[in-house]
Amino acid sequence: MIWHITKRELYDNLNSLRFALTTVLLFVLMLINAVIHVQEHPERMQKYHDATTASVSALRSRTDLFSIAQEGPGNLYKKPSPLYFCAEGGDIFLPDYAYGISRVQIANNLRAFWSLYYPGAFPNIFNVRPDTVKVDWGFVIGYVLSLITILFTFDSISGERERGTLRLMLSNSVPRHTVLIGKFLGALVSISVPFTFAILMNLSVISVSSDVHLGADVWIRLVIIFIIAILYLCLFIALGLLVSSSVQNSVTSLVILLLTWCVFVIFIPSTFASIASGFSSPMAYDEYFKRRNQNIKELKEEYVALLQETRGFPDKKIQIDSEYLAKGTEQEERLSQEQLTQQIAQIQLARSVTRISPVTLMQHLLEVFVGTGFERHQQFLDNVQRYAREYREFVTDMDRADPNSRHIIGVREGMSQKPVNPESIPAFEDEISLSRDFNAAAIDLFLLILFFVVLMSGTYLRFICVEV
Amino acid sequence: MLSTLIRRELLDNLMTFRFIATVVIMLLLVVANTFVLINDYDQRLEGYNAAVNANHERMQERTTYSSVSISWDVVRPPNLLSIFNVGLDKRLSNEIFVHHGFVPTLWDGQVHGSTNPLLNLFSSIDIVFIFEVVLSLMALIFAYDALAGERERGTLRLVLTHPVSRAKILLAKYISAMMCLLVPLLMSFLLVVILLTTSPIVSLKVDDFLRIGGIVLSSIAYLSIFYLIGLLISVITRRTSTALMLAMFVWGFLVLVYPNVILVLITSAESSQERLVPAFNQIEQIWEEFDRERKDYLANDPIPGEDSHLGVAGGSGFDEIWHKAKSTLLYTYLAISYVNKLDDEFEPRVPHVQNYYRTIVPKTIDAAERAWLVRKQALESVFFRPAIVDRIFLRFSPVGMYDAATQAWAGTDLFGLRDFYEATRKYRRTLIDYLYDKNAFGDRKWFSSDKGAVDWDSSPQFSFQRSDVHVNAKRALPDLLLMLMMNLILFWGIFFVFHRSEV
Amino acid sequence: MLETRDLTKVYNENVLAVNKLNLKVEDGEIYVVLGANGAGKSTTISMFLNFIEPTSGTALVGDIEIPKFPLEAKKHLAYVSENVELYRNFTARQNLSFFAKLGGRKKVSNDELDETLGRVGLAEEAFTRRVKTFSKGMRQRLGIAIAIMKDAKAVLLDEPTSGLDPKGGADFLNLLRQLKEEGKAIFMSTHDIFRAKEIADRIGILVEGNLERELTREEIQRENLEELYLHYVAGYEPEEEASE
Repeated sequence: MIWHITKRELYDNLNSLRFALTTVLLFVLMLINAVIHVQEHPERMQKYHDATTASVSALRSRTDLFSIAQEGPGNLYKKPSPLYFCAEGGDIFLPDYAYGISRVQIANNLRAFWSLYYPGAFPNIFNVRPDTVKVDWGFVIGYVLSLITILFTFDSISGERERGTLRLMLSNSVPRHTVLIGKFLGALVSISVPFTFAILMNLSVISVSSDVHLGADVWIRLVIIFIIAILYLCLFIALGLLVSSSVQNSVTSLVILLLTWCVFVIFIPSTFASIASGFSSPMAYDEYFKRRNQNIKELKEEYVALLQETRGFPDKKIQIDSEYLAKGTEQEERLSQEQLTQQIAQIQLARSVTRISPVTLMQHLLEVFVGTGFERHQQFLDNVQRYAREYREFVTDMDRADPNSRHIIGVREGMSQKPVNPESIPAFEDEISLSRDFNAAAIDLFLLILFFVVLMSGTYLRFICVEV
Repeated sequence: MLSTLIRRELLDNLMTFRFIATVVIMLLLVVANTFVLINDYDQRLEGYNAAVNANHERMQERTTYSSVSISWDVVRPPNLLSIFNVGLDKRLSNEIFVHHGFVPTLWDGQVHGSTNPLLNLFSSIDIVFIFEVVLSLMALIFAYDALAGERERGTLRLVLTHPVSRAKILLAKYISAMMCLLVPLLMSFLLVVILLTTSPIVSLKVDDFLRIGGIVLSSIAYLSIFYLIGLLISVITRRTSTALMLAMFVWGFLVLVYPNVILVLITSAESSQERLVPAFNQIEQIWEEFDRERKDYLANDPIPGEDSHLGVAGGSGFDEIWHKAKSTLLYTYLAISYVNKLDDEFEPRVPHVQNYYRTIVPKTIDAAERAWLVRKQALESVFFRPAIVDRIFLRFSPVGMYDAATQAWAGTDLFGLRDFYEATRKYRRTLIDYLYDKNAFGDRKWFSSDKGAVDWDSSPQFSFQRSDVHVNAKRALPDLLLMLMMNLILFWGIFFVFHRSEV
Repeated sequence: MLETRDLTKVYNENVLAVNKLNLKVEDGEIYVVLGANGAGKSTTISMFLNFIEPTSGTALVGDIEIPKFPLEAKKHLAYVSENVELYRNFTARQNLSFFAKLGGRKKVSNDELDETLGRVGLAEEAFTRRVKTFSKGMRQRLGIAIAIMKDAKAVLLDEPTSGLDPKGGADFLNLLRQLKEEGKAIFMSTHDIFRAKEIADRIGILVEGNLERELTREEIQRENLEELYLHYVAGYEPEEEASE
C-alpha cells in the first residue's frame, strides 16, 4: 500500500515542472563543480608537493645535530584533500602550514631553539574581486537541495487538502501513517533520483580525468557523504511535511517554510557565529607581540645577570646557556600555543552554537569526511604537535646514542658532533584517519539524526490528528 | 478608479499571513544583525584606535628622519556604513606603511592584528544581504499569484467585465504590492537608523543620512525588479502552481546560484601572474639603475672604499633593505640609520654623509615614482580588471546591480577603498614636501640623533576624508539606472503580455 | 441592446468555435442560448466582454462596437458567471462596494449596498461575512447583486443556475424577470431546458458554433423544446431518446 502511494507521488512529481528544473539545475551545478575541480586540483597538489619537497630537502641538507636541533623542521604543510570538491570548508581562511623555526635571540651569540608557530591566513587582503561561495557539494546540498526539498513538500499535504483529494484518499481504508510514509518516500525518491544521477555524473567526470586519482578509502568516504546528504534531505522533507500538514493552505505553508529556510539555512550560521564569537576575545596579535617582547626582554636581563656571575666558568656558562635556551624556547612555544588555544576556543564556541542550524551540521559532517575545514585543521595541528615531539625526541635520542657527547642540548660544544644521516631525520607526514573522523563527526551526526527524528515524530503526531 | 483597485489590493495583501510573517521575520533579522554589526564595528574601531595609538607611540621612539620610514604607517578607519554593505571594507588591508622609498598601493598593506583570523570561517552578514535574500523572496511570493491567481479563481474575468483598462489593473497591483513591501523595508531601515543613532559609539552625519537614503532608494529599485519578475511569471503562466515553481527557481537561480557560479567560471579561465613578469623586470631595471648611480656616487666620493653609510654608523644602527615581492611587484630600497652616539673620529665624515643622503634620497624618491608608473599599470590590468569584469558579469543578476549600487553608496566598493590608498599616496607626497621643507635629507638628523632627536610634532598628520556624497551618487548612478531600466523593460514586457493574453 | 454581426472565432488556426453568429437581443428581452458543452456559448459571451478578440465580425452593445471600444462598451455590460468567484477574504458588502466602484460609481452608501444584497435574497447576517464561507447559491446571489448594482443596459449570464437548489434557481429567475422589467437586454446561456422555457423570450440553439435554430416566444410554447434540443445538440431522434 505504501508503495502504491509512493508510486502515485512519484508519478505526480516526475511529470512536474519542478522536477525538470531540479534536474537541470543539479546537473549544471555538479558539472561546473567537477570541471573546476579537475582544473584546480592538480595545481593544488603540485603546490603542496613542491612546498613539502622544498621543506624536506632544506631539512635534510643539515648534517650536524646542533643545527638540526636549533633550526628546526621549517615549514610543515597541510595535505590537501582529494575530495576538495565536496566541501571546501573555508580552507582558504585556514593557514595551510605551521612552522617550526628558531626565532628568538636571547643574547648576541645565543639563539633559542626552534619553536612551533601558527601563522594566520589572510587570503583576501589583496583580493579585490567580489565575494563568492564556493560551488561545492556542501553548497549544492546545503542550500540548493534544501530549497528544492521545500518546493517539493510544501503542498504535499496542504495542497491535497485544498483540492480535496486527501479526503478522497482517506475515504479508503488506508491508515494515515501509510499515507504519510508514502508521501515521505515519494518526495525522497523523486529528489534523490536527480541528485544521485548528478552526483554520479560529477564523479565520473572527475574520475575520468587523468589528473585526479580517487583511491578506495576515498570512495568509502564518498558513500558516507552521500548517506549524510540523504539524511539531510530527509530532515527537510520531514520539516516540509510537518508544516504542510499543520497549515490549511499551501501558500501559508510555503511562506512558513521559506522563512524557516532563510532563517535556519542562511542567517543563523552567520548571525549566531557572530554573536557567539563576541563572548570571548582571544589574544590579539598586538598583545601577543607585546607579551612576547616582554618575555624576551626579561629572559635576556636574567640571562645577562647570571652570565656576570659565571664569568670564568665556561662549563657553567654552557649549562646556563642550555637552560635559558630551553626556557626561551618553551616560553615562545607556550605563548603561541596559548594564542592558538584561545583562537580555537572562540571558534569552537561559535561552531557549537551554530549547530542549531541543520546546514551547519551537514557542512561540519561533510568537512570531517572530506578532510577540509576546521576539524581537519585541528587534526593537522595535532599532527604538527606530535611531529614536533617526535623531532625533539629524535634529537635527544641521537645525542644520547653518542657516548662522546656531553648531553647538553642546545649548545654546540655540549652536543654530539657526529654527522647525522640526513635520511634518518623524521619528515612531517600529514595523516588523516577515518576512525578519528567518525569520532569527530559523532556529535553532529547525532544531532542531525535527532532533529530528523523529532521532526518526523512531530509530523506523524500532527498528521494523525489533522482534520481533513 | 485606480484608487478603488489599489485599496482592494492593499486590503487583500495586508490581511494575509505572508505579509505579517515577512514583516516580523524581517524586523527580527534586521534587529539581531544590526546589534551584531554595531558590535563588530565597535571592535574594529577599537582595533583602529589601538593601531593608531601604537603607531603614534612607535613614532615617538624614532629619533632620526630616516628611521621613521619603517614605522610611518597609516591606518584605515572602519567605514560605519559597512553595516549596510560590508563590501571590501573588512577584507582589504587596513594598515599601510608610507615612506619615500615606494608609492603605497592596495597591495602593500597588511591587517593590523586585533582579531582572530580564523573567524573568517564564518561568513558575515550585512543589512543589504538580508534585503537581498528575504525581500526578493517576499516580492516574488507577493507577485506570483497576483494575476495567475485571479485568473484561476475567475475574479479577473469579473473585474474585466467592468470598464477598467488592463494597464490600470497592472498599475494598481504594482502600486499596492510595492506599498506593502515597502512597509518591512522602510521599517527595517528606520530601526537600523534608530539603533545606530542611539548607539554611543556611532555618530551619523548629514552626509551619512544622504548615503543611507541612497541605499534605501537602491533597495526600492531592487525590490521592484523582483516584484516585476514575479508579475511577469504570473502573467505568462496560466496556473498558480506553475507560477510559484517558476518564481522560486528563478529566485534560487538569480540569488543563490548565478552570483556564485559565474565568478567561479570566469576565475578558472585565467591565470594572471605571468603577466606581471615583464613589468617586474622593468621595475627591477629602474632600481638597478638607481643602485648603479648610488654606487657611482660612492665610488667617486672622496672617502675611499666605504659602503653606503660611509662607516659613520660603525655597524650598528644602520639597516639597508631591498624589499622585493614579485607577486605584487613590490621593489624598494630603504636605508635606515638611527645612530645615537657618534665618535669624534667620524666627525669629519659627517658632511660627506649629509651630501650623500642629500643626493641619494631624492634619487630614491624619483626611482620609486618612476617604478610606480609601471607598477600602477601592471597591477591595475592584472588585479583590477578581472575584478571589474567580475562585477560586470554579476550585473546580469539584479543581486549584482543592487550590491554594486549599495556598495557605492556606502563607500565600501572598490573605488571607495581606492580613495583610501589614493589618500595615502597624497599623504606620502605631503610628507616628502615636509621633509624637503625641513631640508631633512641633508640634515644630520637624517641619520643621527646624537645632536638631538627629530621633533615630529609639526609633521603632517594623516587623515582620511571619505568621498563626498555626490561622488558616491556618481558611482552608484550607473547601477541605479540599470535597475531602473530593468524595471521599465519588465513593466513593458508584462504589459505587452497581459494586454494580449486572453482571460 | 446586444447584437452580433458575423461574429466568428477560430482558435489556434483550425478550431472553429463560433461561426458567423448573427443575433440580436432587444432591451427588455431575455435571450437564452442553449447548447452542449463546447458549442460556443461561453466563447460568445467572452467576445461580448472582450475577453477574447473575435477572428472576424463584431459584437455590439447599443451602438458601441465592443472590440473597438472595449472600455466604453463594458460600462453597459454586466456579467454573471457559472461560478461567481469573488475575493474570498472580503465580505459580501466589501465585494459589492468594490465592484460598484469599478463600475464607475463614485460613492456607495452602506444602505444602498444592504438594499441590493437584501433584494437578491441574502440574509442580513451574511452581509458582513467573508465570501469564502459562502455556499454556491449565496455567491450566485452576490453575483447578480453586483450586476444589479452596476445598472448596465445589458446583462450576460453564463450558465448562472447550474448547481443551484430548486429554490435558489427559482429565486434567481425571479431576479432576472425583475431586471427584464427594468428594460435590460439579457443574454443567458444554459443547459437547462426547463428554466429556459420558463423564462426565455427567445431561444437560440447553438451547435458547434452555428446558430441552428431560433425560437420565438410562441414557438417555445408550441414546440417540444426537449425534443428539439436533443435533435440539434445530440443528433438524437425522439425514439432513440426513449432507449437512453
